[in-house]
Amino acid sequence: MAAAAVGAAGCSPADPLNWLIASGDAAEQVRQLTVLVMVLGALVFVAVEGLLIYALLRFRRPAPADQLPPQVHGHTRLEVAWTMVPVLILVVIAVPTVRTVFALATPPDANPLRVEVIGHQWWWEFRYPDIVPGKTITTANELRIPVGRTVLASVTSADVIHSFWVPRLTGTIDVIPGKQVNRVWFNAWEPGEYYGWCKEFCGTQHAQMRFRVVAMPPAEFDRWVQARLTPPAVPASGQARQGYELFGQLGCSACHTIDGTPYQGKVGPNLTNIGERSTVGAGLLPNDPDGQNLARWIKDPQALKPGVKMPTLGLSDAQVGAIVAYLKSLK
Amino acid sequence: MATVGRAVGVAPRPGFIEYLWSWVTTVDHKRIGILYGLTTTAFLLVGGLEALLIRIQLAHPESKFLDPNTYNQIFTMHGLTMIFLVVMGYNATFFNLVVPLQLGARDVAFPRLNAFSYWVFLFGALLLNLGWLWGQAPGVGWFGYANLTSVEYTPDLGTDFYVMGLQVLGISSIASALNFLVTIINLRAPGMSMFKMPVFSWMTLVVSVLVITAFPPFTVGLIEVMFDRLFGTNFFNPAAGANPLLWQHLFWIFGHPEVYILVLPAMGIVSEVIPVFARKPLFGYPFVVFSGIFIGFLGWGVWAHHMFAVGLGPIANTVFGITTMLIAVPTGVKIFNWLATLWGGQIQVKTPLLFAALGFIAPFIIGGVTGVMHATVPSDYQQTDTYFVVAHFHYVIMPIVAAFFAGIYYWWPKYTGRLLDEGLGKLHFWLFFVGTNLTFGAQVVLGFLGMPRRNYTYPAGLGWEPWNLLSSIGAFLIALSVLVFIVNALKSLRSGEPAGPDPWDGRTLEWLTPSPVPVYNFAEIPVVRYRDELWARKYGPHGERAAAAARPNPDPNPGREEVHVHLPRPSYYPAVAALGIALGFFGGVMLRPAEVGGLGPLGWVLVGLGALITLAGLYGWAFEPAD
Amino acid sequence: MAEATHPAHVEHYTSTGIDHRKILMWLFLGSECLFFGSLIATYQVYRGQSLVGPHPHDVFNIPYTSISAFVLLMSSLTMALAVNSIRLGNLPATRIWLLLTALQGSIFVGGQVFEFTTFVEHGLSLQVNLFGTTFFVLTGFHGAHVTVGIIMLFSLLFASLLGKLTPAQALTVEIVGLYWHFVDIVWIVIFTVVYLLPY
Repeated sequence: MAAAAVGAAGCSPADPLNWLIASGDAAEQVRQLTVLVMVLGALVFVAVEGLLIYALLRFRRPAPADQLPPQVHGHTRLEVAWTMVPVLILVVIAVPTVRTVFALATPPDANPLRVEVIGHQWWWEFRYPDIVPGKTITTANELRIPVGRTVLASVTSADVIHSFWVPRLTGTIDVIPGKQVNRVWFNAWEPGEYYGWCKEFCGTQHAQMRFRVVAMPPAEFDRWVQARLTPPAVPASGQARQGYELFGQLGCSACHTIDGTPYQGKVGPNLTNIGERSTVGAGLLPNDPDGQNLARWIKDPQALKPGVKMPTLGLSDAQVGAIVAYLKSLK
Repeated sequence: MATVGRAVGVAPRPGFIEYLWSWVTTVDHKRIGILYGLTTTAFLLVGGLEALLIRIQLAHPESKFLDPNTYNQIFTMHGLTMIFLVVMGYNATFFNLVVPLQLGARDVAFPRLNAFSYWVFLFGALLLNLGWLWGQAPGVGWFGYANLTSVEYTPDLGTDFYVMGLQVLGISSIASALNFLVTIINLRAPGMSMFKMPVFSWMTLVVSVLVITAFPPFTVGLIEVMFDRLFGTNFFNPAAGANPLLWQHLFWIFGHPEVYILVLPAMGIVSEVIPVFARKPLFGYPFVVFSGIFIGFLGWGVWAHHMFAVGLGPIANTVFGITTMLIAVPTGVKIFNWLATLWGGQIQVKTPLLFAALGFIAPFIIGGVTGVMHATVPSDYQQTDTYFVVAHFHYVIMPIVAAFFAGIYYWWPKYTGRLLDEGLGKLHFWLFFVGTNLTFGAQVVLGFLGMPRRNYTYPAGLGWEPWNLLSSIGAFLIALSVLVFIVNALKSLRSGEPAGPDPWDGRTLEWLTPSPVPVYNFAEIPVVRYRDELWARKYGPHGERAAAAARPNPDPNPGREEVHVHLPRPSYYPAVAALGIALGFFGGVMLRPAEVGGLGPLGWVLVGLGALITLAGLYGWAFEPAD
Repeated sequence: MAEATHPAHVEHYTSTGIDHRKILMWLFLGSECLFFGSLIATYQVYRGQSLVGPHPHDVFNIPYTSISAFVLLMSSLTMALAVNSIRLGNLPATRIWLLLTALQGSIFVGGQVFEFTTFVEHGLSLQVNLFGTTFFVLTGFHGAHVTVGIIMLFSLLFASLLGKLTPAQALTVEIVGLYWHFVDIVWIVIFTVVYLLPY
């Protein structure tokens, strides 16, 4: 688990949202098409701008009182030609465009890993339904996937319209409340941590509704799944035990679920494996090993993410410390 | 003329109140145009300030300059102000100032309806901004997606001001468009067939058709949100089985024609300015006119390109992708027509030309290319909702603003009788040009780096800092350029070089009148035989007279004897009706409960009062003595 | 066409020979087509999607609504007769036809109000489901348009009683007539799409 975390952190790419660097098949198809259009566009740009600037420079002239420039009204054949040429360029763009649209709409794999994504104001719920027959894993803000395997995500929203986007892996798909369930497929070529972001304005904290997709070698992913199917043990003693009890007493359980405990709140993120997640607060802060950021978050979420649905409860440092100890043990 | 003496010092100048009242009751298209122009310029400064606040916040990562709620209101209001108040406001300004003169008419078909349109515009603009007083301006983005706009997710009054303010503004736009449609159809000078009409008037015609057809679906969408918020209906309530995407469809069926409503008048201005300053006719007038009409039609078939990521399915996405690529053709073709107009001309490098050619055409090419990149559907999946699309649309909107400046510098002498200063004009232009390219060029890069839009802040370490800083610096350059313009305007009004009737050696009928234009426009309605009628009168229909004929006398009444022209009487009923409408819709906002700042059921009193005042205004208007 | 020599008549000059106001009304009605079209489209999008009742077949009384639709249809006839009368200069007949049109319109609106109360008694409200929402808003706006028409008709009637409506104002009556016919046609569409098409 620790090795995976370090490995993931080490693989966080620079320019993590630069989607012209593709890390999966879906993003790569988009990238190729985009580069084609960019090149054609650049050529058009240079040609037309060039003509414009040339015309302006070349035909700057004084206006003598007794001489007009030739009063040309038009030239039908030329105008037809310069209408047809753009059409041809657009055909060159349209053909691969249509092909890619259909390719992206159809998962290339008959047996993808199916996940469910549910957007909430301002965090992400991820579920692996029937990952093992009859069992579902529920987690939040970090989606773990096996490298190389196609993932098919069914996305929906619990409240307003959000948008699921992992630029290095896939273009965006909107996440809509109600009956409409959208689907998107993607895969990752290499292990690593890929940044995800909500892209559809969804209220106060739209800017900080982020997530991570963590791609792991398939064997490691399988181990992770197995580990997750067994809820973590409830701590028996010490600061973690204290934290476990405070979690219920202070009302955290009204919103959060921790598998294997009586805490089954459904309003906020499932915290069952929060100890191993790389971020806190939906992609807001790194989940540092000391738990400092987790402590900051629990102590005063409103200061870090004003308007977030999690209230600032006015806990003492001791209380926060205990809860952090408990949560950090959840892996 | 006798003057009346008044007490010294405290009392207003004799006739000052009467002077103000004459502006309230005016039905003269020229005065209404000036009212629009002043109001619009005021909101240009408001929207510009909002832009600067955005750029200050984003100049540095994790800035605490603005809290998220305030930021969200500011970016929403920036968009609403610039689109509905500034661009549409300047469009209305130019329609009013220019079209009747270009057609050889004395005024528009319905002068009081014209005044009504202005007052409704002003009150609608104020209503949209009134939320600031409650500390809750609209904060849902300019396209206000359902179901974020439901009472459950935005309980504050901001969304109500959005819904009501925009309905009022819609009334203004529709009334104005109906008026200009009838004017263009029915008040062209004798002999001016449609294909002899100037391009700016043609674009006004197409835009007016778009307004009266595109605004109703938007109005219906707003009404549906309003009913959901005020009366608990289920139009966008997923719990009742509704699909919030219905809003997006209604909105973008309006929204896409709206962007052509925004750009076509600017293209009309460019089509006027370039021929004059190249001293040759517009190359391919029929193609330019037809491309405008074609854009008007095709603009109805592309709306879902704003919705490529909502899950319409590959077939719908493909269809809309193709139609969007198709619409690039008539848009692009106009650029070639303008290039060919410049080619072989005698180009006079004055401020209007700089704004039209380098201010509009040059960046518009970038706007168009990035637009085609968005039409490439899969690319859009990455680009949408990032700074790439923000850069794209600013690279088409900034040209529109440049075209407005071209129009202002071009037509200023006609209405004020003075020229704007060329030196200051060029300074204005270059600051604007560098500023806009810096601001939005940087945002193209940010788009590729994946920076999403509508984010009140961003984390450090993603490589976005330098580009954001550059963009913010550019924004301040733009602001500086606008300041230079204001200085130029004030200087010109005070001591600008006097302009005659035809300072640019123009081609169209507005240059036939004296400058400033007398209240009756033309002492005698001209009879038109050619396209570019004025140019034909000066140089012959094919430019065969190399030297201009003696300038046709613009004012066959140099002795300033009274010209016997029957003009429509001023009236205050349009303003009264407009006030009633604004009050009624404000009452609609106030129907919300007291906890969020409303009046609850007492709001009905305001609604009723507004309705009565509107009714009184309309009856007065209908039954006041005919002029 | 000879140039205008007497500027005082310029406001009556038209490029097409059609009065400004008539063109204005036609254009306005074109705009209204999109307004009602969007409301009807909304109804269609949500047709059959209500999660709970009442549903259309629970509340509709087609014979009743057919009668009120017929009344509105007949009002277009009396409207046309009113326009015809004033053109012929027959003011008493004009007043009668105007009154009949306004009355039939009022019967239509009154009939709708009564119809809606029966729906409400069955449990259909604006808030209960998608059908209630879309139905009442669509027909409500139509009814509001009819009411505006009735007000215009009564205004013409009063103007006529005050001696202000003469054959010179025949165009005004014709333009109100255009509006009235439009409102009638919209009802024909709504009646067909909402009531008659199988649900």
